[in-house]
Amino acid sequence: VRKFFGIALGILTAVGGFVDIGDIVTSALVGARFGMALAWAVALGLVGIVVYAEMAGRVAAVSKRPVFELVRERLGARVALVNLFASMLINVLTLTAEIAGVAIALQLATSINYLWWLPVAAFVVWLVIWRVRFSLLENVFGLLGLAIAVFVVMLVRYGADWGHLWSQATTPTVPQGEGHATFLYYGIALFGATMTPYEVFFFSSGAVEEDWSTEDLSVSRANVFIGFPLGALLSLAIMAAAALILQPRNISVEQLSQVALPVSLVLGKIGLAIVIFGFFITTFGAALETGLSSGYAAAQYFGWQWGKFVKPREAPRFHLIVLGSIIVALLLGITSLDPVKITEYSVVLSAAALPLTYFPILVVANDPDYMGDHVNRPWSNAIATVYLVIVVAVAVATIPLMIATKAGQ
Amino acid sequence: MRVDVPPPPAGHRVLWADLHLSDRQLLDANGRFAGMVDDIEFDLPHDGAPPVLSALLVGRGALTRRLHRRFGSWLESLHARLHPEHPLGPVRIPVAYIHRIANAIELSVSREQLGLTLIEDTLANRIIGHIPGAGHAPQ
Repeated sequence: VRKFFGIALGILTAVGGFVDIGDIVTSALVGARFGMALAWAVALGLVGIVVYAEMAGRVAAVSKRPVFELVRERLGARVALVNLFASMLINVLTLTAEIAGVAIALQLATSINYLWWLPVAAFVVWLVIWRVRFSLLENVFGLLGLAIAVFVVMLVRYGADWGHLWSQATTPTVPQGEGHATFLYYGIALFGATMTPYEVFFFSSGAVEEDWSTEDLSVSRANVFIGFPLGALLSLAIMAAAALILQPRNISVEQLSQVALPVSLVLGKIGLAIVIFGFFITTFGAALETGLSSGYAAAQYFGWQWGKFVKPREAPRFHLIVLGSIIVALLLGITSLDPVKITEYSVVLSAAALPLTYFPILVVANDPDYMGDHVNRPWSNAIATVYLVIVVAVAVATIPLMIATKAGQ
Repeated sequence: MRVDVPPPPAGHRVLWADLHLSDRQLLDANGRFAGMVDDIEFDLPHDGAPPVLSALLVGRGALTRRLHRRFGSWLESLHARLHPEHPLGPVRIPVAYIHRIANAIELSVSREQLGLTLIEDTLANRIIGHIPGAGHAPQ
Protein backbone atom coordinates (compact mmCIF):
# COMPACT_ATOMS: atom_id res chain seq x y z
CA VAL A 1 0.00 0.00 0.00
CA ARG A 2 2.81 2.39 0.85
CA LYS A 3 4.43 1.65 -2.45
CA PHE A 4 1.16 2.29 -4.29
CA PHE A 5 0.79 5.56 -2.41
CA GLY A 6 4.33 6.52 -3.33
CA ILE A 7 3.66 5.80 -6.99
CA ALA A 8 0.34 7.71 -6.99
CA LEU A 9 1.97 10.67 -5.28
CA GLY A 10 4.83 10.55 -7.78
CA ILE A 11 2.41 10.61 -10.70
CA LEU A 12 0.38 13.51 -9.31
CA THR A 13 3.47 15.60 -8.54
CA ALA A 14 4.83 14.84 -12.01
CA VAL A 15 1.57 16.08 -13.57
CA GLY A 16 1.56 19.33 -11.59
CA GLY A 17 5.32 19.77 -11.91
CA PHE A 18 5.31 19.23 -15.67
CA VAL A 19 3.56 22.52 -16.47
CA ASP A 20 5.56 25.73 -16.15
CA ILE A 21 5.46 29.27 -17.51
CA GLY A 22 6.90 28.07 -20.83
CA ASP A 23 4.08 25.57 -21.36
CA ILE A 24 1.38 27.97 -20.17
CA VAL A 25 2.41 30.94 -22.29
CA THR A 26 3.49 29.05 -25.40
CA SER A 27 0.40 26.80 -25.46
CA ALA A 28 -1.98 29.74 -25.08
CA LEU A 29 -0.10 31.90 -27.55
CA VAL A 30 -0.06 29.15 -30.14
CA GLY A 31 -3.69 28.18 -29.49
CA ALA A 32 -4.85 31.75 -30.00
CA ARG A 33 -2.91 32.05 -33.24
CA PHE A 34 -2.94 28.60 -34.84
CA GLY A 35 -5.79 26.75 -33.10
CA MET A 36 -4.85 23.14 -32.45
CA ALA A 37 -2.76 22.94 -35.62
CA LEU A 38 0.50 22.72 -33.64
CA ALA A 39 -0.65 20.14 -31.06
CA TRP A 40 1.67 17.65 -32.77
CA ALA A 41 4.68 19.63 -31.53
CA VAL A 42 3.61 19.02 -27.92
CA ALA A 43 3.15 15.30 -28.66
CA LEU A 44 6.56 15.20 -30.38
CA GLY A 45 8.24 16.89 -27.41
CA LEU A 46 6.38 14.68 -24.96
CA VAL A 47 7.72 11.40 -26.40
CA GLY A 48 11.23 12.87 -26.35
CA ILE A 49 11.13 14.06 -22.76
CA VAL A 50 9.56 10.76 -21.66
CA VAL A 51 12.31 8.68 -23.28
CA TYR A 52 15.19 10.87 -22.06
CA ALA A 53 13.84 11.57 -18.56
CA GLU A 54 13.27 7.83 -18.08
CA MET A 55 16.89 7.19 -19.08
CA ALA A 56 18.24 10.00 -16.88
CA GLY A 57 16.18 8.73 -13.92
CA ARG A 58 17.31 5.15 -14.47
CA VAL A 59 20.98 6.15 -14.77
CA ALA A 60 20.71 8.20 -11.55
CA ALA A 61 18.93 5.42 -9.66
CA VAL A 62 21.32 2.66 -10.79
CA SER A 63 24.67 4.45 -10.87
CA LYS A 64 23.95 7.45 -8.56
CA ARG A 65 25.45 9.74 -11.19
CA PRO A 66 23.41 12.82 -12.16
CA VAL A 67 23.15 14.22 -15.68
CA PHE A 68 25.65 17.06 -15.69
CA GLU A 69 28.37 14.85 -14.25
CA LEU A 70 27.81 12.54 -17.22
CA VAL A 71 27.88 15.49 -19.60
CA ARG A 72 31.37 16.39 -18.39
CA GLU A 73 32.52 12.80 -18.13
CA ARG A 74 31.47 11.87 -21.66
CA LEU A 75 31.97 15.13 -23.58
CA GLY A 76 35.16 16.21 -21.81
CA ALA A 77 35.88 19.44 -19.97
CA ARG A 78 35.81 21.72 -23.01
CA VAL A 79 32.58 20.77 -24.79
CA ALA A 80 30.84 20.30 -21.45
CA LEU A 81 31.85 23.85 -20.54
CA VAL A 82 30.12 25.15 -23.67
CA ASN A 83 27.04 23.19 -22.63
CA LEU A 84 27.33 24.57 -19.10
CA PHE A 85 27.36 28.17 -20.36
CA ALA A 86 24.39 27.53 -22.65
CA SER A 87 22.45 25.68 -19.97
CA MET A 88 23.12 28.37 -17.35
CA LEU A 89 22.00 31.09 -19.77
CA ILE A 90 18.76 29.27 -20.56
CA ASN A 91 18.23 28.37 -16.93
CA VAL A 92 18.53 31.97 -15.81
CA LEU A 93 16.24 33.14 -18.63
CA THR A 94 13.70 30.48 -17.65
CA LEU A 95 14.06 31.40 -13.98
CA THR A 96 13.44 35.06 -14.87
CA ALA A 97 10.27 34.05 -16.69
CA GLU A 98 9.09 31.82 -13.83
CA ILE A 99 9.68 34.47 -11.16
CA ALA A 100 7.92 37.02 -13.35
CA GLY A 101 5.08 34.52 -13.68
CA VAL A 102 4.81 34.29 -9.90
CA ALA A 103 4.81 38.09 -9.63
CA ILE A 104 2.20 38.48 -12.37
CA ALA A 105 -0.06 35.90 -10.69
CA LEU A 106 0.24 38.00 -7.54
CA GLN A 107 -0.56 41.14 -9.54
CA LEU A 108 -3.69 39.48 -10.93
CA ALA A 109 -4.72 38.58 -7.38
CA THR A 110 -3.93 41.91 -5.72
CA SER A 111 -3.85 44.56 -8.49
CA ILE A 112 -0.45 45.67 -7.21
CA ASN A 113 2.03 46.00 -10.13
CA TYR A 114 4.11 42.86 -10.66
CA LEU A 115 7.36 44.82 -10.51
CA TRP A 116 6.73 45.31 -6.79
CA TRP A 117 6.09 41.61 -6.36
CA LEU A 118 9.29 40.53 -8.19
CA PRO A 119 11.70 41.02 -5.26
CA VAL A 120 9.21 39.36 -2.90
CA ALA A 121 8.82 36.39 -5.22
CA ALA A 122 12.59 36.08 -5.74
CA PHE A 123 13.24 36.21 -2.01
CA VAL A 124 10.62 33.60 -1.14
CA VAL A 125 11.88 31.29 -3.93
CA TRP A 126 15.35 31.53 -2.45
CA LEU A 127 14.06 31.03 1.10
CA VAL A 128 12.16 27.87 0.18
CA ILE A 129 15.23 26.45 -1.60
CA TRP A 130 17.35 27.35 1.42
CA ARG A 131 15.12 25.91 4.10
CA VAL A 132 12.58 23.40 2.82
CA ARG A 133 13.33 19.70 2.47
CA PHE A 134 13.53 18.42 -1.10
CA SER A 135 10.67 15.89 -0.98
CA LEU A 136 8.35 18.37 0.73
CA LEU A 137 8.95 21.08 -1.85
CA GLU A 138 8.52 18.67 -4.73
CA ASN A 139 5.28 17.13 -3.41
CA VAL A 140 3.54 20.30 -2.22
CA PHE A 141 4.08 22.27 -5.41
CA GLY A 142 3.43 19.29 -7.65
CA LEU A 143 0.09 18.49 -5.98
CA LEU A 144 -1.20 22.06 -5.71
CA GLY A 145 -0.11 22.65 -9.30
CA LEU A 146 -2.94 20.35 -10.35
CA ALA A 147 -5.13 23.46 -9.94
CA ILE A 148 -4.17 24.20 -13.54
CA ALA A 149 -6.49 21.30 -14.48
CA VAL A 150 -9.24 23.95 -14.20
CA PHE A 151 -8.65 24.37 -17.94
CA VAL A 152 -10.03 20.86 -18.46
CA VAL A 153 -13.08 21.72 -16.32
CA MET A 154 -13.53 24.86 -18.39
CA LEU A 155 -13.46 22.88 -21.65
CA VAL A 156 -16.09 20.44 -20.33
CA ARG A 157 -18.37 23.20 -19.06
CA TYR A 158 -18.02 25.12 -22.30
CA GLY A 159 -19.12 22.01 -24.14
CA ALA A 160 -16.07 21.93 -26.35
CA ASP A 161 -16.52 20.12 -29.66
CA TRP A 162 -13.88 17.45 -29.04
CA GLY A 163 -14.22 15.99 -32.52
CA HIS A 164 -13.48 19.34 -34.08
CA LEU A 165 -10.46 19.96 -31.83
CA TRP A 166 -9.20 16.48 -32.63
CA SER A 167 -9.53 16.95 -36.37
CA GLN A 168 -7.77 20.32 -36.12
CA ALA A 169 -4.93 18.64 -34.27
CA THR A 170 -4.66 15.61 -36.55
CA THR A 171 -4.94 17.42 -39.88
CA PRO A 172 -2.78 20.46 -39.20
CA THR A 173 -3.05 23.30 -41.69
CA VAL A 174 -1.24 26.60 -41.59
CA PRO A 175 -3.90 29.30 -40.99
CA GLN A 176 -4.38 31.98 -43.63
CA GLY A 177 -2.04 34.93 -43.24
CA GLU A 178 0.60 32.88 -41.43
CA GLY A 179 3.83 31.81 -43.13
CA HIS A 180 5.25 28.29 -42.99
CA ALA A 181 8.41 29.56 -41.31
CA THR A 182 6.41 31.18 -38.49
CA PHE A 183 4.40 27.99 -38.13
CA LEU A 184 7.60 25.95 -37.76
CA TYR A 185 9.10 28.53 -35.42
CA TYR A 186 6.20 28.13 -32.99
CA GLY A 187 6.41 24.37 -33.43
CA ILE A 188 9.99 24.60 -32.17
CA ALA A 189 8.86 26.85 -29.30
CA LEU A 190 6.32 24.23 -28.17
CA PHE A 191 8.88 21.45 -28.62
CA GLY A 192 11.38 23.41 -26.51
CA ALA A 193 8.79 24.22 -23.85
CA THR A 194 7.98 20.53 -23.52
CA MET A 195 11.61 19.35 -23.48
CA THR A 196 13.40 22.17 -21.55
CA PRO A 197 16.86 20.96 -20.47
CA TYR A 198 16.35 21.84 -16.80
CA GLU A 199 13.78 19.05 -16.55
CA VAL A 200 16.37 16.29 -16.95
CA PHE A 201 18.88 18.08 -14.67
CA PHE A 202 16.19 18.37 -12.02
CA PHE A 203 14.76 14.89 -12.48
CA SER A 204 18.12 13.11 -12.24
CA SER A 205 19.52 15.29 -9.45
CA GLY A 206 16.24 14.81 -7.58
CA ALA A 207 16.72 11.05 -7.86
CA VAL A 208 20.12 11.44 -6.18
CA GLU A 209 18.69 13.86 -3.58
CA GLU A 210 16.06 11.29 -2.65
CA ASP A 211 18.59 8.48 -2.74
CA TRP A 212 16.79 6.42 -5.35
CA SER A 213 18.01 2.90 -5.98
CA THR A 214 16.98 0.20 -8.45
CA GLU A 215 13.93 -0.42 -6.21
CA ASP A 216 12.63 3.04 -7.06
CA LEU A 217 12.67 2.41 -10.80
CA SER A 218 8.94 1.64 -10.77
CA VAL A 219 8.24 5.05 -9.18
CA SER A 220 10.46 6.70 -11.78
CA ARG A 221 8.68 4.90 -14.63
CA ALA A 222 5.22 5.75 -13.30
CA ASN A 223 6.28 9.41 -12.98
CA VAL A 224 7.50 9.52 -16.52
CA PHE A 225 5.11 7.23 -18.40
CA ILE A 226 1.88 8.36 -16.69
CA GLY A 227 2.65 11.70 -15.04
CA PHE A 228 4.33 13.43 -17.97
CA PRO A 229 1.63 12.57 -20.55
CA LEU A 230 -1.08 13.82 -18.19
CA GLY A 231 0.97 17.00 -17.71
CA ALA A 232 1.18 17.41 -21.48
CA LEU A 233 -2.61 17.01 -21.65
CA LEU A 234 -2.91 20.04 -19.37
CA SER A 235 -0.73 21.97 -21.83
CA LEU A 236 -3.05 20.90 -24.64
CA ALA A 237 -6.10 21.92 -22.57
CA ILE A 238 -4.65 25.43 -22.29
CA MET A 239 -4.07 25.42 -26.04
CA ALA A 240 -7.63 24.24 -26.71
CA ALA A 241 -9.08 26.89 -24.40
CA ALA A 242 -7.20 29.58 -26.30
CA ALA A 243 -8.21 28.04 -29.64
CA LEU A 244 -11.91 28.07 -28.70
CA ILE A 245 -12.18 31.43 -26.95
CA LEU A 246 -9.30 33.66 -28.03
CA GLN A 247 -8.75 32.71 -31.68
CA PRO A 248 -12.31 33.53 -32.89
CA ARG A 249 -12.09 36.92 -31.14
CA ASN A 250 -8.67 37.68 -32.65
CA ILE A 251 -7.11 38.08 -29.22
CA SER A 252 -3.36 37.42 -29.32
CA VAL A 253 -1.64 36.46 -26.10
CA GLU A 254 0.65 39.23 -24.96
CA GLN A 255 0.07 38.93 -21.23
CA LEU A 256 -0.48 36.15 -18.73
CA SER A 257 -3.91 37.58 -17.86
CA GLN A 258 -5.11 36.77 -21.39
CA VAL A 259 -4.27 33.11 -20.83
CA ALA A 260 -6.74 33.12 -17.93
CA LEU A 261 -9.46 34.84 -19.96
CA PRO A 262 -11.16 31.65 -21.30
CA VAL A 263 -11.50 30.26 -17.79
CA SER A 264 -12.94 33.44 -16.29
CA LEU A 265 -15.38 33.77 -19.21
CA VAL A 266 -16.73 30.25 -18.76
CA LEU A 267 -16.33 29.57 -15.03
CA GLY A 268 -16.60 33.07 -13.61
CA LYS A 269 -14.79 34.45 -10.59
CA ILE A 270 -14.15 31.16 -8.85
CA GLY A 271 -12.61 29.77 -12.02
CA LEU A 272 -10.45 32.87 -12.32
CA ALA A 273 -9.32 32.53 -8.71
CA ILE A 274 -8.36 28.89 -9.27
CA VAL A 275 -6.50 29.66 -12.49
CA ILE A 276 -4.52 32.46 -10.83
CA PHE A 277 -3.69 30.12 -7.96
CA GLY A 278 -2.63 27.50 -10.54
CA PHE A 279 -0.36 30.00 -12.33
CA PHE A 280 1.14 31.01 -9.00
CA ILE A 281 1.87 27.45 -7.86
CA THR A 282 3.16 26.06 -11.15
CA THR A 283 5.48 29.02 -11.81
CA PHE A 284 6.66 29.04 -8.21
CA GLY A 285 7.36 25.31 -8.34
CA ALA A 286 9.19 25.70 -11.64
CA ALA A 287 11.19 28.64 -10.24
CA LEU A 288 12.40 26.31 -7.48
CA GLU A 289 13.31 23.68 -10.07
CA THR A 290 15.19 26.06 -12.38
CA GLY A 291 16.94 27.80 -9.46
CA LEU A 292 18.13 24.45 -8.13
CA SER A 293 19.05 23.24 -11.62
CA SER A 294 21.55 26.09 -12.08
CA GLY A 295 23.27 24.95 -8.90
CA TYR A 296 23.08 21.30 -9.90
CA ALA A 297 24.56 21.84 -13.36
CA ALA A 298 27.49 24.00 -12.26
CA ALA A 299 28.35 22.01 -9.13
CA GLN A 300 28.20 18.73 -11.04
CA TYR A 301 30.46 20.08 -13.78
CA PHE A 302 33.14 21.02 -11.22
CA GLY A 303 32.52 18.05 -8.90
CA TRP A 304 31.62 20.34 -5.99
CA GLN A 305 29.37 19.28 -3.14
CA TRP A 306 25.75 19.97 -4.04
CA GLY A 307 22.31 19.08 -2.87
CA LYS A 308 19.73 19.75 -0.25
CA PHE A 309 20.55 16.51 1.54
CA VAL A 310 23.49 18.27 3.25
CA LYS A 311 23.60 21.42 5.40
CA PRO A 312 23.92 24.58 3.28
CA ARG A 313 27.31 25.39 4.79
CA GLU A 314 28.61 22.05 3.56
CA ALA A 315 27.70 22.97 -0.03
CA PRO A 316 28.54 26.70 -0.09
CA ARG A 317 29.41 26.93 -3.78
CA PHE A 318 26.18 25.20 -4.80
CA HIS A 319 24.11 27.58 -2.67
CA LEU A 320 26.04 30.62 -3.92
CA ILE A 321 25.28 29.68 -7.53
CA VAL A 322 21.59 29.20 -6.73
CA LEU A 323 21.51 32.54 -4.92
CA GLY A 324 23.48 34.22 -7.72
CA SER A 325 21.16 32.97 -10.45
CA ILE A 326 18.11 34.13 -8.50
CA ILE A 327 19.69 37.58 -8.14
CA VAL A 328 20.56 37.77 -11.85
CA ALA A 329 17.04 36.63 -12.75
CA LEU A 330 15.57 39.30 -10.47
CA LEU A 331 17.76 42.01 -12.01
CA LEU A 332 16.72 40.90 -15.52
CA GLY A 333 13.10 40.87 -14.38
CA ILE A 334 13.02 44.36 -12.93
CA THR A 335 14.36 45.86 -16.14
CA SER A 336 10.68 45.31 -17.08
CA LEU A 337 11.62 43.25 -20.13
CA ASP A 338 8.38 41.74 -21.39
CA PRO A 339 7.97 38.45 -19.43
CA VAL A 340 6.06 36.82 -22.31
CA LYS A 341 8.94 37.62 -24.69
CA ILE A 342 11.51 36.27 -22.18
CA THR A 343 9.49 33.07 -21.95
CA GLU A 344 9.35 32.75 -25.73
CA TYR A 345 13.09 33.21 -26.11
CA SER A 346 13.86 30.79 -23.29
CA VAL A 347 11.78 27.96 -24.77
CA VAL A 348 13.14 28.48 -28.28
CA LEU A 349 16.77 28.54 -27.08
CA SER A 350 16.02 25.47 -24.96
CA ALA A 351 15.24 23.57 -28.11
CA ALA A 352 18.62 24.59 -29.55
CA ALA A 353 20.61 23.44 -26.50
CA LEU A 354 19.24 19.92 -26.17
CA PRO A 355 21.73 17.76 -28.14
CA LEU A 356 24.73 18.38 -25.87
CA THR A 357 22.74 17.22 -22.86
CA TYR A 358 20.85 14.31 -24.41
CA PHE A 359 23.77 12.68 -26.19
CA PRO A 360 25.75 11.81 -23.02
CA ILE A 361 22.60 10.45 -21.35
CA LEU A 362 22.05 8.07 -24.26
CA VAL A 363 25.70 6.92 -24.25
CA VAL A 364 25.83 6.22 -20.51
CA ALA A 365 22.41 4.53 -20.47
CA ASN A 366 24.01 1.94 -22.80
CA ASP A 367 27.20 1.50 -20.77
CA PRO A 368 27.17 -1.72 -18.70
CA ASP A 369 29.98 -0.30 -16.52
CA TYR A 370 27.43 2.16 -15.20
CA MET A 371 24.19 0.31 -15.70
CA GLY A 372 24.84 -3.41 -15.21
CA ASP A 373 21.66 -5.23 -16.25
CA HIS A 374 19.76 -1.98 -16.57
CA VAL A 375 21.19 -0.87 -19.92
CA ASN A 376 18.76 0.44 -22.55
CA ARG A 377 16.40 -1.94 -24.28
CA PRO A 378 16.52 -1.85 -28.10
CA TRP A 379 13.18 -0.02 -28.45
CA SER A 380 14.37 2.68 -26.11
CA ASN A 381 17.60 3.09 -28.11
CA ALA A 382 15.64 3.23 -31.34
CA ILE A 383 13.37 6.05 -30.15
CA ALA A 384 16.23 7.85 -28.42
CA THR A 385 18.35 7.77 -31.57
CA VAL A 386 15.50 9.14 -33.68
CA TYR A 387 15.12 11.95 -31.13
CA LEU A 388 18.81 12.69 -31.15
CA VAL A 389 18.51 13.29 -34.90
CA ILE A 390 15.43 15.46 -34.31
CA VAL A 391 17.03 17.61 -31.60
CA VAL A 392 20.15 18.12 -33.73
CA ALA A 393 17.98 19.17 -36.69
CA VAL A 394 15.99 21.49 -34.43
CA ALA A 395 19.16 22.95 -32.93
CA VAL A 396 20.51 23.71 -36.40
CA ALA A 397 17.21 25.20 -37.62
CA THR A 398 16.34 27.29 -34.56
CA ILE A 399 18.55 30.36 -34.90
CA PRO A 400 18.06 30.81 -38.70
CA LEU A 401 14.29 30.45 -38.21
CA MET A 402 14.38 32.93 -35.37
CA ILE A 403 16.09 35.46 -37.62
CA ALA A 404 13.97 34.71 -40.70
CA THR A 405 10.68 35.10 -38.84
CA LYS A 406 11.89 37.98 -36.65
CA ALA A 407 11.13 35.71 -33.67
CA GLY A 408 7.70 34.70 -34.87
CA GLN A 409 6.22 38.06 -35.83
CA MET B 1 58.34 -4.03 -40.77
CA ARG B 2 56.06 -3.86 -37.74
CA VAL B 3 57.48 -3.97 -34.25
CA ASP B 4 56.26 -6.39 -31.66
CA VAL B 5 53.35 -4.93 -29.67
CA PRO B 6 52.60 -7.02 -26.61
CA PRO B 7 48.93 -7.24 -25.55
CA PRO B 8 47.89 -5.57 -22.31
CA PRO B 9 48.66 -7.73 -19.26
CA ALA B 10 46.09 -10.51 -19.01
CA GLY B 11 43.99 -11.28 -15.96
CA HIS B 12 43.58 -7.80 -14.54
CA ARG B 13 41.84 -4.57 -15.44
CA VAL B 14 43.56 -1.86 -17.45
CA LEU B 15 42.62 1.79 -17.13
CA TRP B 16 42.31 4.19 -20.02
CA ALA B 17 43.27 7.68 -18.91
CA ASP B 18 40.51 9.53 -20.69
CA LEU B 19 37.79 6.88 -20.51
CA HIS B 20 38.12 5.75 -16.90
CA LEU B 21 39.99 8.51 -15.08
CA SER B 22 39.74 12.04 -16.36
CA ASP B 23 36.59 14.07 -15.70
CA ARG B 24 35.29 11.54 -13.18
CA GLN B 25 33.66 12.54 -9.91
CA LEU B 26 35.78 12.05 -6.77
CA LEU B 27 34.12 10.84 -3.58
CA ASP B 28 36.00 11.15 -0.30
CA ALA B 29 36.08 8.55 2.49
CA ASN B 30 32.84 10.00 3.90
CA GLY B 31 31.03 9.75 0.55
CA ARG B 32 31.08 13.50 -0.07
CA PHE B 33 31.81 15.10 -3.43
CA ALA B 34 35.49 15.99 -3.61
CA GLY B 35 35.87 17.53 -7.07
CA MET B 36 36.46 16.15 -10.55
CA VAL B 37 39.63 14.54 -11.85
CA ASP B 38 40.79 17.63 -13.69
CA ASP B 39 44.12 16.20 -14.84
CA ILE B 40 46.43 13.24 -14.28
CA GLU B 41 50.05 13.36 -13.14
CA PHE B 42 52.70 10.87 -14.24
CA ASP B 43 56.11 10.59 -12.65
CA LEU B 44 59.13 10.27 -14.96
CA PRO B 45 61.83 8.32 -13.15
CA HIS B 46 65.44 9.51 -13.66
CA ASP B 47 66.67 6.12 -14.78
CA GLY B 48 64.67 6.27 -18.03
CA ALA B 49 62.08 3.76 -16.79
CA PRO B 50 58.52 4.24 -18.16
CA PRO B 51 56.30 6.94 -16.60
CA VAL B 52 54.29 5.89 -13.58
CA LEU B 53 50.85 7.23 -12.64
CA SER B 54 51.55 9.23 -9.50
CA ALA B 55 48.58 11.47 -8.70
CA LEU B 56 45.18 12.81 -9.71
CA LEU B 57 45.02 16.60 -9.93
CA VAL B 58 42.00 18.60 -8.81
CA GLY B 59 40.95 22.22 -9.05
CA ARG B 60 42.97 25.39 -8.57
CA GLY B 61 44.56 25.59 -11.97
CA ALA B 62 44.45 22.03 -13.28
CA LEU B 63 41.16 22.45 -15.14
CA THR B 64 41.73 26.05 -16.18
CA ARG B 65 45.20 25.28 -17.55
CA ARG B 66 43.76 22.41 -19.53
CA LEU B 67 41.10 24.68 -21.01
CA HIS B 68 43.37 27.63 -21.68
CA ARG B 69 46.99 27.72 -20.60
CA ARG B 70 47.47 31.48 -20.24
CA PHE B 71 44.05 32.16 -18.74
CA GLY B 72 44.75 29.33 -16.31
CA SER B 73 48.07 30.74 -15.10
CA TRP B 74 46.53 34.21 -14.85
CA LEU B 75 43.72 32.83 -12.69
CA GLU B 76 46.23 31.02 -10.52
CA SER B 77 48.34 34.14 -9.94
CA LEU B 78 45.16 36.04 -9.08
CA HIS B 79 44.23 33.34 -6.61
CA ALA B 80 47.73 33.41 -5.11
CA ARG B 81 47.44 37.16 -4.58
CA LEU B 82 44.02 36.89 -2.94
CA HIS B 83 44.92 33.92 -0.79
CA PRO B 84 48.69 33.93 -0.16
CA GLU B 85 48.12 31.36 2.58
CA HIS B 86 46.87 28.72 0.12
CA PRO B 87 49.50 26.46 -1.49
CA LEU B 88 50.05 27.05 -5.22
CA GLY B 89 48.80 24.80 -7.99
CA PRO B 90 46.20 22.06 -8.07
CA VAL B 91 45.52 19.67 -5.22
CA ARG B 92 47.44 16.43 -5.73
CA ILE B 93 45.81 13.18 -4.76
CA PRO B 94 48.57 10.56 -4.62
CA VAL B 95 47.51 7.20 -6.04
CA ALA B 96 47.98 5.63 -2.61
CA TYR B 97 44.80 7.39 -1.45
CA ILE B 98 42.63 5.95 -4.22
CA HIS B 99 40.35 3.36 -2.67
CA ARG B 100 38.35 2.19 -5.68
CA ILE B 101 37.93 3.22 -9.31
CA ALA B 102 34.32 2.78 -10.43
CA ASN B 103 31.66 5.11 -11.88
CA ALA B 104 33.09 7.59 -9.42
CA ILE B 105 36.57 7.48 -7.95
CA GLU B 106 36.45 6.72 -4.24
CA LEU B 107 39.21 7.95 -1.95
CA SER B 108 40.40 6.47 1.34
CA VAL B 109 40.84 9.84 3.07
CA SER B 110 38.54 12.82 3.68
CA ARG B 111 38.52 15.87 1.44
CA GLU B 112 39.64 18.05 4.36
CA GLN B 113 42.73 15.87 4.88
CA LEU B 114 43.71 16.52 1.26
CA GLY B 115 43.19 20.27 1.47
CA LEU B 116 40.38 20.13 -1.05
CA THR B 117 38.01 22.34 0.93
CA LEU B 118 40.07 25.55 1.26
CA ILE B 119 37.85 27.61 -1.07
CA GLU B 120 34.71 25.88 0.13
CA ASP B 121 35.60 26.68 3.77
CA THR B 122 36.44 30.30 2.97
CA LEU B 123 33.06 30.78 1.26
CA ALA B 124 31.25 28.93 4.03
CA ASN B 125 32.85 31.07 6.73
CA ARG B 126 32.70 34.44 4.96
CA ILE B 127 29.31 34.30 3.22
CA ILE B 128 27.07 31.25 3.49
CA GLY B 129 27.76 30.70 7.18
CA HIS B 130 26.40 34.18 7.98
CA ILE B 131 22.96 33.41 6.55
CA PRO B 132 20.63 32.10 9.26
CA GLY B 133 19.96 28.39 8.95
CA ALA B 134 23.22 27.54 7.16
CA GLY B 135 24.16 25.02 9.81
CA HIS B 136 20.96 22.96 9.72
CA ALA B 137 19.82 20.52 7.09
CA PRO B 138 16.57 21.75 5.47
CA GLN B 139 13.34 20.76 7.26
